[in-house]
Amino acid sequence: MTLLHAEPRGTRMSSTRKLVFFSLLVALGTTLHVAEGMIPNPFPFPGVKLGLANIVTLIALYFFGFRDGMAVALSRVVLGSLVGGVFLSPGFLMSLSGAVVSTVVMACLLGYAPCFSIKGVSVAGAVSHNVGQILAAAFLIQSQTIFYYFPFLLLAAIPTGMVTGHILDALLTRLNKSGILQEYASRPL
Amino acid sequence: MTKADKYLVAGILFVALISVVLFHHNFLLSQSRVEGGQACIEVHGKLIKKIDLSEKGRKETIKLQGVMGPATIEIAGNRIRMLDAHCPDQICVRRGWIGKPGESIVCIPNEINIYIERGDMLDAVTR
Repeated sequence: MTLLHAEPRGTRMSSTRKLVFFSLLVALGTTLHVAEGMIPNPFPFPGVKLGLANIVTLIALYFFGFRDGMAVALSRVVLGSLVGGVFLSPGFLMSLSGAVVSTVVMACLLGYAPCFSIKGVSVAGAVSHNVGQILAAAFLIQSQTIFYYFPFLLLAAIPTGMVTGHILDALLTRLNKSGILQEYASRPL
Repeated sequence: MTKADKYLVAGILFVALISVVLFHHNFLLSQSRVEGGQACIEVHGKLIKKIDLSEKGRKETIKLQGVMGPATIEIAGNRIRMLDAHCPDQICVRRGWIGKPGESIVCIPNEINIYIERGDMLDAVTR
C-alpha cells in the first residue's frame, strides 16, 4: 500500500487519529495553495511560485506514504482551485499536472533514494512540479514555443525548493521531537 | 545538504545553463540574418495571422478574440507586443516587445501564442 513502510511500527494509529491528521494536512494544503495564488508573480514567465503547498504534500508522503501523499496533493489542488474560482481552467490543469508529477518524483526519492536529504527531495519536487506544469501548458496551447521558459523555470525552482526544504527540515525536526506522529516516522532525518 | 543534494542542484543548474546557451545561440544566429521575420499569431493552437515584420516604420494594432476575452496586439517597426489582454495575470503584457526569431509571447489563459518564425535559419548554418 505504501512506498515507505509495509507495516507501521509500534502501536497502530487509530483510524480516527489518522483521519484527523489527513484532514488537517488537506486543509493546510488548500489554505497555502489559495494564499500563494494571491501573491503576484513578479517574473515575466508563468508558473513561478514558492511552492508552500508542496510542504504539506511532502509531510504527507513522509509520514503516510505514497497513496495518502497523492490524495493530499490532489485534494488540495481541487479544493484550492474551487476556492479560488479557477476549477478546470488552464491554470488548474497546470497545477494538477505539476502536483501529480512532483508527488511521484518526491515519493520515489523518499522511498528509494536515501542519499537525498529532505532539502534535496524538496528541490527535486519543485523542479518536477515546474516540468509538469510546462508540459501541461505545452499540451494546452499546442505549441512548443512555451519551452522557451524552461531554463528560467528550472533556475527558479532551485531557490524555491531550498526555501521549502528549509521549512520542512525545521518542521520535521519539531514533529519528530513532539512524537505526535511517532508511529509513522519512517525515516531518520 | 548531503552530497547527493549538491549533485542534484548542480545537475539542474547544468541543464538550465545548457538550455539557456542553446536558446541564446539560436538568437545570436538568427540576429545575423535579416532583421524582422514573420510574426505568427495562434489562438487555441490555430494560426490566425501572419505578420511581416520587415517593413520599417510600420505601426498597427490588431484586435483579436482570445479564449477568455479580447486582446490587443501592437506592432511597431519590426517588434510586436501584447498591448492589452483580458487575462488575470497579465504575464503576456509584461513580457514586453519581441522581435527576434524564436522569441515568443504566450498568454495561457487566453491560449494566445505569438512567436517570430525562425525560417530556414538552421539550414543556412549547416550548409
